[in-house]
This record gives sequence, C-alpha cells and structure tokens, in this order.
Amino acid sequence: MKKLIRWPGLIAFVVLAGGLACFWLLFADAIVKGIIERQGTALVGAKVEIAGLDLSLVPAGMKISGLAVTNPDNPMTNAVEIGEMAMTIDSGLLLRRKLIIDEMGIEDMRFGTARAYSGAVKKRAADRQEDAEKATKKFNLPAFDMPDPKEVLEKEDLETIRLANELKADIDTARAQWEARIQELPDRQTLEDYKTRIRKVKSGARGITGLLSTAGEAAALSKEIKADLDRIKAAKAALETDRAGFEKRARQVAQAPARDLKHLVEKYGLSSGGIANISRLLFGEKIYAWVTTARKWYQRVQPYIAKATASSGDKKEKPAPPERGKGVDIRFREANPLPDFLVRKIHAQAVLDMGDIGGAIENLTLEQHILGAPTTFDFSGRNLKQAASVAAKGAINFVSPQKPVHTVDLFVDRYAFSNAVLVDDPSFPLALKSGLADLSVRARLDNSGINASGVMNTKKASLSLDMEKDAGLVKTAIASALADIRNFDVRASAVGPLEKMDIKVSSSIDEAVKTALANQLKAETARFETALKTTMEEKIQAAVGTPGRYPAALDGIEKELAGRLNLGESLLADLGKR
Amino acid sequence: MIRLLAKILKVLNSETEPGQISLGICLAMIIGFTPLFSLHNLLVVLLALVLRVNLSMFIVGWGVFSGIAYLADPLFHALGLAVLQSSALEPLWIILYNMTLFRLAHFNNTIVMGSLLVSLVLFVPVYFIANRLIQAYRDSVLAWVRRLRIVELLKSSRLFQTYQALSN
Repeated sequence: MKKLIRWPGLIAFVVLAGGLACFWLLFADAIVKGIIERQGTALVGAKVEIAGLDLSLVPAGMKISGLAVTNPDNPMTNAVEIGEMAMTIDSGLLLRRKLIIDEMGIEDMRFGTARAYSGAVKKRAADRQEDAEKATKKFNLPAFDMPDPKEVLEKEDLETIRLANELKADIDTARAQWEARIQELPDRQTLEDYKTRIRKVKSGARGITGLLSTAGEAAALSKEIKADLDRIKAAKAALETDRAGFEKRARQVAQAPARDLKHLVEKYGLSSGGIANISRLLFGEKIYAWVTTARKWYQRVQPYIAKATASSGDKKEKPAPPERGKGVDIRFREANPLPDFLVRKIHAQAVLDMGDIGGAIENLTLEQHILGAPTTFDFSGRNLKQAASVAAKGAINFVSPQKPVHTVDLFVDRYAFSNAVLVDDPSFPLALKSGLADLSVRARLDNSGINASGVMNTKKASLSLDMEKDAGLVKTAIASALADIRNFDVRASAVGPLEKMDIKVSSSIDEAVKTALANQLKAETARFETALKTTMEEKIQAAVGTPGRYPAALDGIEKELAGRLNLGESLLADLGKR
Repeated sequence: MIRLLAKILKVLNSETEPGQISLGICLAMIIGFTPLFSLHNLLVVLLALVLRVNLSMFIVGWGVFSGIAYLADPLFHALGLAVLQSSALEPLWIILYNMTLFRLAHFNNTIVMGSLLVSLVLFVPVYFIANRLIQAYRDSVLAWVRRLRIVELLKSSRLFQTYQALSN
C-alpha cells in the first residue's frame, strides 16, 4: 500500500457518527413513542396510544402524557387512561442494556374512559374464541310464567306413549306367533277323529273276547290322546305366561302418565331452586365478568412472565430456536444481578367514580427470580365521594417461577350505591337505587388455581324492579319481596383451575324471596299440574287408546286352546267309561 | 445497477492494489455477517473509512455478505450458542459480561458471537485468497476475457459505455 491512512476518511466517520447522533437526538422521542405503542398494542391486543413523549438526557428520564390503553373487549373504551407519567432512568445501567427506573410518578389515572374512535386491532383466533365464550351468558333468567300445557306436550315425547306403542307392537308379534303355533297343535278335526276311533273301539268291545281284543287298541288310543292333550296344555301354559307378562307391562304403562306428569312439572314448572336462588341472577353475571376479565389479563401477561423466567433454568439447556437474525441472549452471573427491566417504585394516583385513591407499586419486573422480590401494590383512599374508605393490597409473586403465588385483599367501607343496575335485562330490570355496602374480597392464585372469596354487607338498601303492568303473579311477588329488603349480604367464591373455576354466589336475598314466593309458587304449580294432566290424558287417549286392554288381543287364542283341551279331556273320559 | 457493475469492473481492472480490494472485502464480511447495529461495526466502519481500503468493494461486499448471513443465520446461532455455553470459556464470559463495554457490544448474543467468530476466523484466509484471485484475474483471465467474442459484443453495450465514462 502506498499510503495506509486516508485522513479524509476520519472526517467522514466523524460526520457520519455525528449525523447518526443528531438523528437520534432529533427523532428519539418519536422512535421510543413508536416502540412503546407497538409493543403495548401487541401485549394488550388493542391500541395503546401516547399523546406525547419527552426524553431527557441529564438526568436520564422520560415523561409520557396522555397514555391510553384500549380495552380489547370493548374497543370504544379505554381500560386505563393516564394523564401523565414521569420517570427517572439509571443511565449507567442503561449502557449495560438494563432499563432500571428508580422512581415513576403516575397522575390522573382513570379506568373505563370513553374513546372518540375504536381502538380495535386485528384479532387473533384465540381472542375470537374468548369473545364467543363471553357471548354465552352464564347466568340466565329463570322463567317467571307458567308455560302453556299444549305447547309443552307438543315438544315433549311422553314415556307413556312410547311404552304403550312398544307393548302393542310386542302383543301383535306374539299374537302372530301364537296363530302360527296353534296350527301345529292337534286341531278339532284331529280330536273328532279320536271320537270316531273311540266309537269303533267301543263297538268292538262286546263280550269277554271283544273286550280282550280291543283292550290294547284302547290303551294306545288313550296314550295318543294324552300326548296331544299334553302339547295343548303346555301351549296353554306358555300363552298364560306370555299374557301375564303383557298384563304386567300394561299395568306399568298405566303408571307411566304419573311419571310423565312429574317430569314435566319439574322441567317446566316454577321450581323454588330456579327462582329462589336469585342472588346468582343478580350478582352472578357481574362476578363472572370481573373474574373473567382478571383471568384474561393474567393470561395475556403470563407468556411474557414465562419467557422472562425461562432464562432462570440450566445454562446448558438448549434454548428454543430464535427468530431469524435475532439470536438468543445468554445470561451469565453478575456481580450485582438486576433484571433487564425494573421499576423500583411507582407512585400512582387514580381517579375513580367513587373518588381519588393513591398508592404505590414496588418492584415491577418480569424477572422477579433475578431481583428476589415480588411485585407489591398498596392503594388506599379515605373520605371519598362514594365511600368512607377503600384499601387494596396485594402481591404478584413469581420469585420462584415454578411456585407462583399471587394475592390480593380489597376492602371497601360504606360504599354508597346509587342507581346501580343489577340485572340489565328488559324482562327483569332490577336496580339498587341506594344502599351502603361494606365489601371485603380476598383472593389467592397459585399452581392449584384460584381461591377467592368475597362478602358484601349492604344496609339501607332500596331495590327496585320496574316491570310492565301485565307482569305475572310470580314476578309481582318477587318485586314485592325485593322492595321490602333493607339489609342483605352477598357471599361469592371462585375456586378451582382458572379455565374451569367454580363460581358460587349466595345471598340473604335468596331466603327472603323464597319465603315470599312459597305459597305463590305452590298455587301456580298446582294449577299448571292440573292443566297439564288433563291435556296429557287427552293426548295419550288419542295416541294409544287404553293400553290396559291390549292383552285382550290374545283372548281368541286362549279360548281356542281351552276348547281343544276340554274336547280332548271329554274324549279321554268317554274312553274311560268303556 | 449498470453503474454499480461498471464500478466493480473498474475496481477489479484498475491499478488499485489487490490488498486494498481484499481488505475492503474482509471488512465487508464482518459488517455483512454480523448484526448491523453492533458496537464493533462502528470500528469496522471507522477502519473502512480511515484505512485506504476500496470503498466500492466494501459497499458491494457488505450487500453480498448480508445475503449470505441471512442463509447462514442458523449456523451462526448454533456456533454462538456452543461457544457461549462452553464450560471452559465461562469464566471469561462472566468477566466480559460484567464489563459495560462488552455488554454494549452485545457479545452474549448467539448470532453476534457466532457471526463475529466466523468473520474473524475467515478474515485472514479471505484476505489472502482474494489477493491471489485478483492477481490471477489480472494476469491471465483479463487478457483471455478481453479476447472473447462475447466481451467484444459487451464492449459495444451500454454497460461498457458507462464503464468507459467512469474510467475516463
């Protein structure tokens, strides 16, 4: 080489590097904003938007204003909206590819705010399945009016008719078989022939010589007649057995209408189990929706936790094939181990309908196994617009990724209900106009599933059920019973694996409604039963007549066998008189 | 495109020393094989600009080696993984992992490690092989190529016109 160094190249390098640095300084805000919006949208499954973002170098920090996270289940609503977030970042650790936020302040956090436009993004198949699940109501309104007996009988198959038809078909088959069998038995002509032969034997048995010569013939004839009579007797006995069986079945058919009636009354009647467990109807759907929403968010975050904790395993373990061009970051022992992302403390202030509450979240990270501490939160509020006090405390703990334990305790003291819709169904529009409630909820989620329970004690309650004028007697009775309730409690529990948890709801309202409805239900059910019985008997009569008379179809065959038997026995008697 | 091809021909057939072209190819191999936004690539760009390497060959080589890197990606990952998980080297990796400069260099990424290792190992052999090939091309192939009928035809083409224009 003539000359090794190209000095203008150094200037070009400085210009190039300087240009890149300027580009970053000018566009870093927009770039980071874009990254947060993209990653957030992918995580949530609906649009995450930021109105403004400002990065500062000294001290290293970031300020986000107008953060809106769309509710993926309701794209016209924000799940969370934050007025302003400010944070300071450890710049030294940032060079080590660790985003450690020492302090973060969140102000003006609101939940369930309306959006001006939809925040929906293209849905994944799994989400569509979740939506289908959501569309299926878990707690349906029971029927409050008795159905029309004719309509009930039109769509129901009666056991009586089925049994009667089976019996009739079996008797017809048996009758055909017996008619064939009777042909094979000695008929009247055969027996008449015996008569002629007896007469002949008798006429030959005159005197001692005659008697002796016909004795053998008479004995043979007697034997033949007895054999034929035995066949007829056996057939008659078999026929009687068949008939007895058919008569037994006919008696069972006669009892079937009572069973049909009981089954239909249970199925279509107003059972106390359906109506009196009204707490499931009033609170079940809401509790199910809350638990389902919590489960959905947990399941959305779960893959990220799993990914972050995967590196905690054996270093020699072969990681899954990475995305093309990305590779896998191998972790090594650090002098001061820290997660790649950590917010040490968040001070948050939330604006709720009940009033403003404040609190702190500590150690927010997906790599708790590195930090060795769980994420905790503690929020509270006093002298709120709608409640005397609120406190929510909990921990999201997967420090040991194989044994995660998450807990939450929520207490609300004297929450003032005001026109809270309990049942959003036009046929049963129930609202809690007013009331003061104390609420306590405790939940724990671990590998065995969820174990949550909650109690709400409500005082000075005023329940209202606005119904149309022609509402049935039962609805009217329920409305009256509910209107009289002033104090009630609701107890709910959700236990079991997240996918198949068992949600139970009970309330003192149940007992009040049950008592109020007891006589009403009894009278209504009796009226329905009587009407149903009459209609059912008419239907059975028209369809199958009187099944008790079916065995009479075998009368002719039985009579014929009896006649042949009588004739044969008289022949034997006649032969004996010789 | 024609201009670029003409530039390559110009570089190969010019009086530029084979060493300068080969060094351009070798530096291009590093920046092409390894992920672009890696700390070491800043040094590669600095060397490419400051050392008197052939920039045209550096830029063209960068594109070519990036294409090869896309195909060799699984190989780089496997190699990087094996090296980073090697028990014998673990003490070294732990020391480097605790140094800010090396964390910035992202050496603990399997693709960065694998591709950087491959390009560093191939650096010297590729330098000498490229040198020999360029020399051989200029000594024997160039004269033979010039005599080919097709080359005579090409000389009358637009590509050659552009090449000529650049040469002048």
